[in-house]
Amino acid sequence: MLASCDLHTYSNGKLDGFWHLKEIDTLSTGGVEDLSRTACFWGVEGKLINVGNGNIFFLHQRYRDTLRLYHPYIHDWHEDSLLKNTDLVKAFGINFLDDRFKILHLNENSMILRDSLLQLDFEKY
Amino acid sequence: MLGSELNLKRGTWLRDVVAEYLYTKYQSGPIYHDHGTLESYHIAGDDDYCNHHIYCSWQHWGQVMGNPLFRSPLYNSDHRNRVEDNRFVAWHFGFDGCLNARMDERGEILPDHLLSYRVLATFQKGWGTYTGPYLPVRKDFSMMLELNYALSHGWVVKGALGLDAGGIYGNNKGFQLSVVKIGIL
Repeated sequence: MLASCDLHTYSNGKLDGFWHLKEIDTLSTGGVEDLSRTACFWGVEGKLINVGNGNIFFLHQRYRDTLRLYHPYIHDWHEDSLLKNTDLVKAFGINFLDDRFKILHLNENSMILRDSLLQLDFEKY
Repeated sequence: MLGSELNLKRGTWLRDVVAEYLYTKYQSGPIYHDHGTLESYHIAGDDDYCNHHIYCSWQHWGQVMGNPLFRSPLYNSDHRNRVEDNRFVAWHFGFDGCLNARMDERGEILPDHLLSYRVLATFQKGWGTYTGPYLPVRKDFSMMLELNYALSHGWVVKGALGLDAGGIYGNNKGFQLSVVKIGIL
């Protein structure tokens, strides 16, 4: 019997991991939403970013200090469906189906992202 | 898990010391993604130690097998058969010794009328699981102090005090008294 397997390794450096979105700042109003006691998480691994109850995924690309989230879909076991609007992901600080964030700060413990509407403050969990 | 144990052959009031460090936060990353109709990408993360998507957790009568720091389903207030806290960092320390050691001519401790003690202490910081994270992170401290008095003819009396304090197991206290006979009655 012959067998083979594919092994892909993929590292996003400090971006990899389980991130708790603990604060959202609305840039236009200066309003701050405290999420420190709310289960609002981004999971980053491989080329995917996961939000929601584990079944909403974005592809991501990072180039220098820009993080792009695109091609969102709902992954329901083996059936995928494209996300048509941002209703399900707004609570996670994502307002565009193709969203570009500037990485203002990133280390092993914390991350701050900003797009045209919001600034997102994360802690590594 | 990293651990070390020191046994002091000639020790009296301090005979054994143990220190252990356990880290389970990283479980192959936070994402489990199987092949789908839009993305064939496969990521086998979110190991969810001691839990399973279909079967119940790795437990026997509600107690996790293998390591007591994985919070046993027995303590779940919602009665679910799941380990609620499998992402944690813990430090465990222990030491023991004899309080009234008497030596024979070879330097060995005489077992009769020997009063000995044992102290175990554990500090734990728990993040819950990837799918059910604790908010905020919970901390816990557990310890046990045991006194052991060896009588003649293999009889031993033991008393132990134990306590938990913190957000993982709650605040608890307990006492145990044992009478032990070593050998044939």
